[in-house]
Amino acid sequence: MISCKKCGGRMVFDIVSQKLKCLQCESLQDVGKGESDVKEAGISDTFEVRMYTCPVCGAELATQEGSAVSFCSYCDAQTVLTDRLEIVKRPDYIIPFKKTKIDCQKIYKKKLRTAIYAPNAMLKQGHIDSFRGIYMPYYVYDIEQKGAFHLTADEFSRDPYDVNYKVCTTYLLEGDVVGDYRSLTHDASNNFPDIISECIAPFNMEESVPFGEEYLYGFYADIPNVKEVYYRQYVTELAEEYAYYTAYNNRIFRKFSINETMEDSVHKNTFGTKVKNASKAMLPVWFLSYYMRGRMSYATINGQTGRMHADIPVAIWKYLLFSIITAVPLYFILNLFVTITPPNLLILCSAIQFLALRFYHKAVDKLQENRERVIKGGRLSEQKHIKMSSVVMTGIVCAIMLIMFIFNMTEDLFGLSGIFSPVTMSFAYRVVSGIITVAGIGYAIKVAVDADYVIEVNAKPPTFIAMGVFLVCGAVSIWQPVKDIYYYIACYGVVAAIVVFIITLIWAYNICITRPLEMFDRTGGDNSGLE
Amino acid sequence: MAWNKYRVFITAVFMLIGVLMFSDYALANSVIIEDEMDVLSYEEEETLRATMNELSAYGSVLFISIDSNTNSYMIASQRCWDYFQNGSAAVFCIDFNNRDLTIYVTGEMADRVSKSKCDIIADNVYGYASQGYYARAAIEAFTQVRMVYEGKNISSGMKIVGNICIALIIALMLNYMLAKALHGNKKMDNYAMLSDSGNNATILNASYRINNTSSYYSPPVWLIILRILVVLLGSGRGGSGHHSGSSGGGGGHGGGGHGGSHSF
Repeated sequence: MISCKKCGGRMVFDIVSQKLKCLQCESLQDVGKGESDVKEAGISDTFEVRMYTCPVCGAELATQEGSAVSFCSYCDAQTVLTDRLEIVKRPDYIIPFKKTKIDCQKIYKKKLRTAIYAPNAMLKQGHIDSFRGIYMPYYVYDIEQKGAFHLTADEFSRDPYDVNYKVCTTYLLEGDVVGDYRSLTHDASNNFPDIISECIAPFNMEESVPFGEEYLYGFYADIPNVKEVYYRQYVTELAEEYAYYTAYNNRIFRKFSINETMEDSVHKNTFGTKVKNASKAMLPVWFLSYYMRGRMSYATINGQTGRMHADIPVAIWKYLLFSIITAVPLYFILNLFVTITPPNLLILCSAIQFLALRFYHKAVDKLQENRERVIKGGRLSEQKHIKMSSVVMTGIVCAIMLIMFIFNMTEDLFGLSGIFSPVTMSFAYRVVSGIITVAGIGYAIKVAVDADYVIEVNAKPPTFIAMGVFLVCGAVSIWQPVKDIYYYIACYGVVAAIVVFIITLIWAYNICITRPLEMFDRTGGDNSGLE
Repeated sequence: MAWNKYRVFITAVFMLIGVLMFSDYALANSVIIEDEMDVLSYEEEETLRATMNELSAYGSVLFISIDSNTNSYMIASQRCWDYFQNGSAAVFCIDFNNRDLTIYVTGEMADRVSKSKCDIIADNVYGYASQGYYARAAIEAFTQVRMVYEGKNISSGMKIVGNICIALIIALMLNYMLAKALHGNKKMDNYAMLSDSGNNATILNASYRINNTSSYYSPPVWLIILRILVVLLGSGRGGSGHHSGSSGGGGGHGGGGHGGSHSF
């Protein structure tokens, strides 16, 4: 620890002046020797830190401070952390903090203003004041690229001699790529989720300076615990992706529609990519944790650029409250234009439930995919499995709803009354109702088979509810009771089913964006490259 | 002699004019009850007639009870055309075969009483018909038609319940999409991120050559539609005689009116 030369007080790194500042007399002092001076002075490439271990989650943080740390940045546990002195390897570079704590609180508050469904506890000033500056360990890679590539593209045109035939011309696109990539970074700690570090990227390494211990005063640091070679594939693929899109946007190739996706191209062409150099750096991150029912969500802000990633859960009660509030003006607007008879309302609700079920299916798939990415680490290729049958069915349902809206609900508005006779409409609605009921039950069964647990949330029960509601809607449509109450029961059953869908999705979303406390027990997370 | 010769002709002309005027006068704002199913008692018919007389200030009024194998809407519109053509009229038709009732309006009545209002009125009164109070249903229906014509409000339970349901569904889905959009985080596109960081890649010796050419059968959409139309029109021409026979009978309805129906 460095003492003030004037009063002997404790000195910390001051972000505004980019110098060391005395906490007592506020005098400023230039930051000490950098790496080159250290090597000249013959000092070793290690340095001593005080390592604090959280007894609750097991996370470790290093600091140059001598005083006890009262809460854990990772699990927010309010406890005195155990400490020990430890010798760690000196990194090559460091980017000092550029954004102050007040800056990052402003950025976070701005985000919270738009996150209207955030839990109230996140809005409290005490929580926002808990931002802590941590230097995260990163690996910095320099990459060079020099190699040939081959891509194919198809061009379609009409046969000039016979209009019934199309001609497909396949082109082979070739070229050489020369690339120079400086300072591709990846975090070197398995405590720091990759998704978060990718969201707050990039850092401008041109502002980096040779590492000096004085920069750590007043802040904490995480220690690298993943080997550098583990991320070589990641940065190599990043460079190859860049080369692919450079070829894609090349003025000679721009007129072609390239057949290969980025993933196909990366597998097919290496572009002669090689890692030239890898070094270690400490990069600044403001860190805020929020504890929610045994899980943690984090807000992190790039301490250099101010770019933020914030996992903000959705409070279900707030969502329901805002939905009811939103429904009021919608009701008055609908009352101006829409009058819908109970049988038509039933068909409309059945169609909407079909779309809601499809939406639920897609959302659950996405959540499962994102969660697998978090657990396995690295990058998942974006493979889009578009099944034509479900797209066609969704298109048919949307077309049905649009036709119903145009010819039934807006008759008064657009004066379209009387275009189709009631007999025709009645027959058409019965057919439509049958199609939607059968399609809906079939799709609900498919989703029930596909859906699985999204972490702890069982995604199947809402699909069973959907099946039941489709059966009720279909039964009422076939039975065609005289009394309206039966239609309304079925329609409000659809409303209840949609509420169940959405609450399940919100619940799953809240779990997906949070992390369990046991991530630090070294059995989960990015642990395959541990040192 | 000349006067005698033309007397008959002139008398016939005046009689024709009188008949036409009388016909128009007889059908203008008239009140007609066609209770073919004999569901109204004498007292009910008198009460109904009184209500219909009130509405007749704005147009003709027709009550029909029938047992037919066509839709009550078709019957209402057909009878309305037969009696009143495009004149201002309101029809209440109750069909005991199909168990449905229709409120049909045309002319000036149709300008003020929209189809959605007809649906609402039918929804308001079907309960009486379900319980066997046919006269009450008709009286209530004509009363509500008059109220709407005069610009007064009527009970719209069907509209309220339906719109609450739709509003709730839209609100739920809208708020979920909003939550997803507002709470999500955006990752910078890798290409943009690397470009901003000063990285660069250059393509040299870019070239392309034809690797393969193939041809396959794929007629354009407009040609497919044209072929379908040719087939349909070709087969349609053969059946035109049959079609024109049926269109003469069905041309009566569809005189510009509209209505609402409900089963009971």
